[in-house]
Amino acid sequence: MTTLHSHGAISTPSRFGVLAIGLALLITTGAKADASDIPRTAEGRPDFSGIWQTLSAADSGLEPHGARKDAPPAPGIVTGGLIPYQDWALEKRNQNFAQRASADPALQCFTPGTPRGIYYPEPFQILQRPTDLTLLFQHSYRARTIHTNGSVHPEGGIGFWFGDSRASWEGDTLVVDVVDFNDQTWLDSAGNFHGNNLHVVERWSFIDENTLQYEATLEDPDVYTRPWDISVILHRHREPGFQLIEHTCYTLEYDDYYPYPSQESQ
Amino acid sequence: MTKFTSLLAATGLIATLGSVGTPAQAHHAFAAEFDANKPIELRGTITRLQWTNPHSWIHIAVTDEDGDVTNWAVEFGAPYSLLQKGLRRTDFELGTEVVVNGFLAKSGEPVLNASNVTLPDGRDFLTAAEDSPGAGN
Amino acid sequence: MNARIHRTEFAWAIGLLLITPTQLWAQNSWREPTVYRVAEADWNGAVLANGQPDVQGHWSNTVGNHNNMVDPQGNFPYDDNNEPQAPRPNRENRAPSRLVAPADGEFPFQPWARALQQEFAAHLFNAFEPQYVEPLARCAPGGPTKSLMWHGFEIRQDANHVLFLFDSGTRVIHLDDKPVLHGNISLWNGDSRGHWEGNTLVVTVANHNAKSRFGRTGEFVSENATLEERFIFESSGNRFLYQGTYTDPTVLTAPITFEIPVRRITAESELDGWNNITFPVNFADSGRAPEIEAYERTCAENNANHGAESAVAAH
Repeated sequence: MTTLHSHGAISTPSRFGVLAIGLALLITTGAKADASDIPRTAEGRPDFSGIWQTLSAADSGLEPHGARKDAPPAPGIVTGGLIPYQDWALEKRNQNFAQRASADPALQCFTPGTPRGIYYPEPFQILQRPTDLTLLFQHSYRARTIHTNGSVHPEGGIGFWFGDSRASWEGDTLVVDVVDFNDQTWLDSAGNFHGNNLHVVERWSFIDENTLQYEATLEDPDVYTRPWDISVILHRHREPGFQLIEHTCYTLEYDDYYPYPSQESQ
Repeated sequence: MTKFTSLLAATGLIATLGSVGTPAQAHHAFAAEFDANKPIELRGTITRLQWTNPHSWIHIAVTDEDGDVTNWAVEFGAPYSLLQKGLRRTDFELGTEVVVNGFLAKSGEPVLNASNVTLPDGRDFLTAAEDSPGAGN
Repeated sequence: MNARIHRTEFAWAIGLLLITPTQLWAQNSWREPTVYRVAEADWNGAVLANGQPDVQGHWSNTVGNHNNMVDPQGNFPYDDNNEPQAPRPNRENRAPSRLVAPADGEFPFQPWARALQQEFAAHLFNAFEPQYVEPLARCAPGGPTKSLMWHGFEIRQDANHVLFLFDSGTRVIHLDDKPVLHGNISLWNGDSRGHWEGNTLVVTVANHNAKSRFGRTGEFVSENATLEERFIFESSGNRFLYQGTYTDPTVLTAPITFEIPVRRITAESELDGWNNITFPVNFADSGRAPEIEAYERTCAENNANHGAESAVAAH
């Protein structure tokens, strides 16, 4: 088996390499929960309600990277290591990386979108009903809806920050199909990006009652040479009384002028 | 780059009439930025789209009778209001020509608040943002 | 300079009778000239699995926008040339002030606060200082009360939360007894704790930064204000009445109470691109009854360079 890497080199993974990849998958994916351990809704579905956050350093860079001034070293979460960019896209990613301190949309408080919101280093809350899951992200305090009511995508050409998410159940795994994105979000703080034709398929499942496995396949024929996968583990926040705190960071620039500048009061 | 676009890039702001000190933003209040007494019609080629809430924008290259090209920023209403009328981002293809009617920015910069747009296929849409004249808010 | 607003006892009497929406004469069916009030009572409507009232769905107010709480269907006190203009005539033929306390429907401002409010109103169309920009125009969250005055919104519930999805932001009302956040943290939409009393969701709002103000006319309270709310839901499932009472000795000479009437948006409701910005749900099974959904709610324009520059110059 040969692998075409995005920078043009062709390599044949050794048996050791295959073993290493297999081990990495095992460590990052973990085992599935016993069916009786899973919190369930009245309809018997796994209930993902709660406040979740990853311990992964995925947002510092989806690909493996050494230490930087703005991030510690991290092993990455992309299956196989690197994102399979087209040549032009790899160049653009590198430009994004060089400008990340100013160009990262999350720094301007644009909502992180999908999938970045899932592994962004702030908590998000899931509120689950029979018809949908609401994902409220502390960063930007915006909500994403995953529809589980048997609906399908609208006609398209709208261009959402989170994409449009329609899901179905495969046993105890929630499978979510996400399309109709704008190209305004990044995939991490290292400049990895996507286009308008991004398509994400997510798989959500319990590892145990306080731990979720999140897997996603990303494809975008304008940007990548093939589909590629990521995987992270999410942990339930169990601190007593824990709640999201409204984080509308873009208001910080003008906060002080409202309700009135402080020198205006009597 | 024309003098208008370089001016836009340099100032980066829609200044308000008679302003002193730092100009500020007042989206949603039509009268803060645009002049209801200055309606015009423009015909231009689409160069860029920004489909954000609460305002969608198209950027069009308008050629005058001398052949000079000015890049205009044209403000529409919210994407979902346009969508309810049947207008999508994908209806605006880069490089195609549209006709827009609207009101000039008070600042004198090439910025227009559009009240309607005519697409290359002849379809006509009302595009006004919430409190613009004719928006019916 | 500000024309006095005349409201007659007759208009109030009309408002208190539960006049049906078919008697509207306003050109937009989402703008009702009288206020549909709902009384506190037991709940006899749909319930969640745990017995709480089920008030989920799409809603919008029936009285106006965020221009002017005191004359919600009137004109703005300044015209397009920023000249003062008198209120539209026949004040009694349209909805009264959204302030039901004090009785005259005016904000009981201390003199310095009234002067400042008038300065804000006079500069909305000539906003050369940052504080003259209405914060909603910067995509800031609308605040607990004003959020109901800009576009339709959605309510979702689970056992411990009532979630409001506004175009201007998101608000969670917690129904459990977890403590509120420390006073060092103050929020545009506050930190809310609520409980049900029959058909009424009773809410105390803490950690409220009050930065959202009440409308383009510039009224405000300070972050010292307390806020108590009552959301009174009609068991029919079609209406609710919002009441919000602010007490703020820093800014006001008396407490104020807002009332905002709200009506459910259904698949049959008029699409108007402002109150009702919902879309038909696309079902794989074409035999399903029509349903509506709202698409993701964002206000992203002022994120460019943290709100200091317009979308035109971004990117």
